[in-house]
Parts: sequence; C-alpha cells; structure tokens
Amino acid sequence: MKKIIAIVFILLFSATVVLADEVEDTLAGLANEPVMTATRQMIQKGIEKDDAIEMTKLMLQNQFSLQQTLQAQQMLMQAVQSGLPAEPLMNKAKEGMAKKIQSGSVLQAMEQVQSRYAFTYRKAEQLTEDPEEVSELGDLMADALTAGFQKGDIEPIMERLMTRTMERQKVDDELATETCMTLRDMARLGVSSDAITDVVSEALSQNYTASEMEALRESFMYAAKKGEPEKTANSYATQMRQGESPESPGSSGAGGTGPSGETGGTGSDGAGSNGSGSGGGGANGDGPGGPGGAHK
Amino acid sequence: MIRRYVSSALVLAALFLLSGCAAHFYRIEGDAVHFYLRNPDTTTVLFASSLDGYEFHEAKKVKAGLWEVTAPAKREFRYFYVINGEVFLPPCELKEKDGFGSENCIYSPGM
Repeated sequence: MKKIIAIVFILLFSATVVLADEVEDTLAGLANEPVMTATRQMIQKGIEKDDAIEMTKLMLQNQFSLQQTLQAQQMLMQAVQSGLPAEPLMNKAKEGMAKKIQSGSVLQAMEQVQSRYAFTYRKAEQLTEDPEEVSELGDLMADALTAGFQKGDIEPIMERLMTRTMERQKVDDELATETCMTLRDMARLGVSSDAITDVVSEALSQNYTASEMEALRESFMYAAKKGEPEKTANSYATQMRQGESPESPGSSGAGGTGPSGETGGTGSDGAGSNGSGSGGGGANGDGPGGPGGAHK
Repeated sequence: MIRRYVSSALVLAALFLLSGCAAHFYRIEGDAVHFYLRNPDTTTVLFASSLDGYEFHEAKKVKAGLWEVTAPAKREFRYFYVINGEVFLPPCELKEKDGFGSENCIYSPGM
C-alpha cells in the first residue's frame, strides 16, 4: 500500500515538474509569475497544453499587457468551467492579433464571443439534455448570431421548437439542428433577422419535419444565390403563409428544386467555382449559375 | 506532364472567363479548395483562416495579377486576405461579423 502511495506521489510530482518546465521554458522572459501560474491553471482546467502556452505567448508578443493577458486567461478558464468551448475565444483572439487590432478591442471581442456562447448554450439546454446536442445547437445558434441573427429573435424560434417537443413528448434533435442550420445559413447570406424569423417560424408552425426543413434551406440557398437573398426570403414567407411550399418542385419561389451547393461544376472531378462577379455557368456567388455539385 | 500542365492552365483560364473575370472565386479539386484573387496592383497577397489560428500563408502568383491559395475543402472556415499590409475582404457570398467592425468570409463545404 505504502509503495502504491509513493508511486502515485512520484508520478503526480513529476507531472507537475514537467508542466512547470514547459510553461516556464516557453514563457520565460515574456511572462511574470502570475501569468505563468494562470497558464498552468488553464492546462489543469482542461485547455490543451500547447494551446494554453501558444495563446499566452502570442498575447505577450502582441502588445497585450500582463494584466490583459491575465484577463484573457481568466476568460478562457471561465468558459471551460461553464461548459462552453474555449476554441472560439482563442480563435477570436488570434484573429484580432492577425488583424493587428488593439489588445483592448480584442478582449472586448472575446467577451462578446463568450457572452454569445453562454446565451446560446443556455438556450440549447432548454431544448435537450444531451451534452453533444447542446454543443451542436449552441455552436450553430452562436454562428447565426455572429452572422447577424438577433438574440431577441431566437426566442420565438425556441418557443415553436419547444411546442413541437411538447406535442410529440420528445425532443426532435434533428429538427432543432436543421432549424438552427437554416438560421445560420440564411444569416450568413445577409438576410435580415426579421425575414429569417418569418420563414423559419412559418415552417415550424406548419409542422415541417427535419427533412422538410433541410429541403427548405437547400432550396432557399439555391434560390437566394440566383436573386437577392432578402427578397427571396420575403417571397418564401409569403408563399408559406399562402399554404404553398416554396421548396417543392414547380413552386415559383424556389428557383429550382435541385440541391444547392457548388453551382456551375467545371470539371470532371465535380469542381465548382465561387466567383464574385457576374459570370455564368462557372460562377457561384453574386452571379448566377446552374446546379452543380451536391450539397453536403 | 506537359499535357497535365496545359490542361490545368486551360481549366484555370476557363474558370477565370466563366466567372466573368471575378475579383475572387474558388475551384474545388478533390480534397482541396483553390481560391483565386485578382489583384494586379500588389506584390504579395497573404491569406489567413481559422483553420490554423489565422497564420499567414503567402498566395502564389499564377499569372499576372492572379493569386492562388489552397486550403482543405472538407472543412468549414473563416478567412480574409492581407494586401499591402491591410486586411482585405473579397466579395464573398457567406459572411459574418468579425467583432472588430468588419467581417470575415466563410467557406462552407457544399455551399
């Protein structure tokens, strides 16, 4: 018994020494003791060792004061402790540094990301208890908000999803996922939050299934690329209110029923191109194009 | 070898023409996505993406004023360019706010 305790003690002690050495070796001359301690704490709380050290080093090399570095480290630890992903925060910091944004503004942007994820993970937890599903829905909703979907508009969508859940006495994970993907993709195309809410709420109130929601999204993405996304969204909402299914074949608003995705395949390998000009067959982007590669 | 080179050049030229001499377009080839940016007035183009923590990658000049960068095609990522030391956002379909008063382009497989 004494032997086992001694071995465990030695192992724990040597792990701490190794950890201390790596942090100290990399950050010596850059960080003070509190920053090094916080870096070790980050690792102990579950942030990848390389990420924690690299992140700290980058901040110190990019004119973050020691105080600001500590602030960012605390933010990352807080995120992990609350069950939120640390990666979006680290990515935001790295993006800010790459864009040569002032450290104070980088910290502000990190705070915004953290608050966004805290909000969307809370919302996702109202829908499901499955941690993986919470993470997937939370990430999708956060992406939608980043793209311009409004926090206040999440509520009506959530209510409709909850109603559907109560009706079926079971969480429809797939429907929730498809719904959040639709919010995200429409927002990324620049559709206003109001117009997205109109389309998605209408679909949910008409009891769209997960696969119907997926078809709606794919059809919308295809149609929006051929015209103006906002107008397309308004036209979709109008058609749905009139009892039509814009994603169905033959519908006037769908702009085609094939899968969206890369338009204008250009090669035998299924290559597509995404252009920003007004090109024809090979362009996907602001210019029109025909259906090409499969979507997802 | 020459045939392969010529066919690649033809595909590139066709793409360029079909995209209406677009300022920015991409081509998917197997597991890779090739981004092309047209900017005749620069000597270097840097590409940064969320794939690797926004490290800078120098774009390759494929012909006068046309720059190419290759990235994995199967993963979603955010990206931007740096031209003459300034962040440059090309015209792109999918975008999101960057939290610094600007935006990022998004590459999403299949979209």
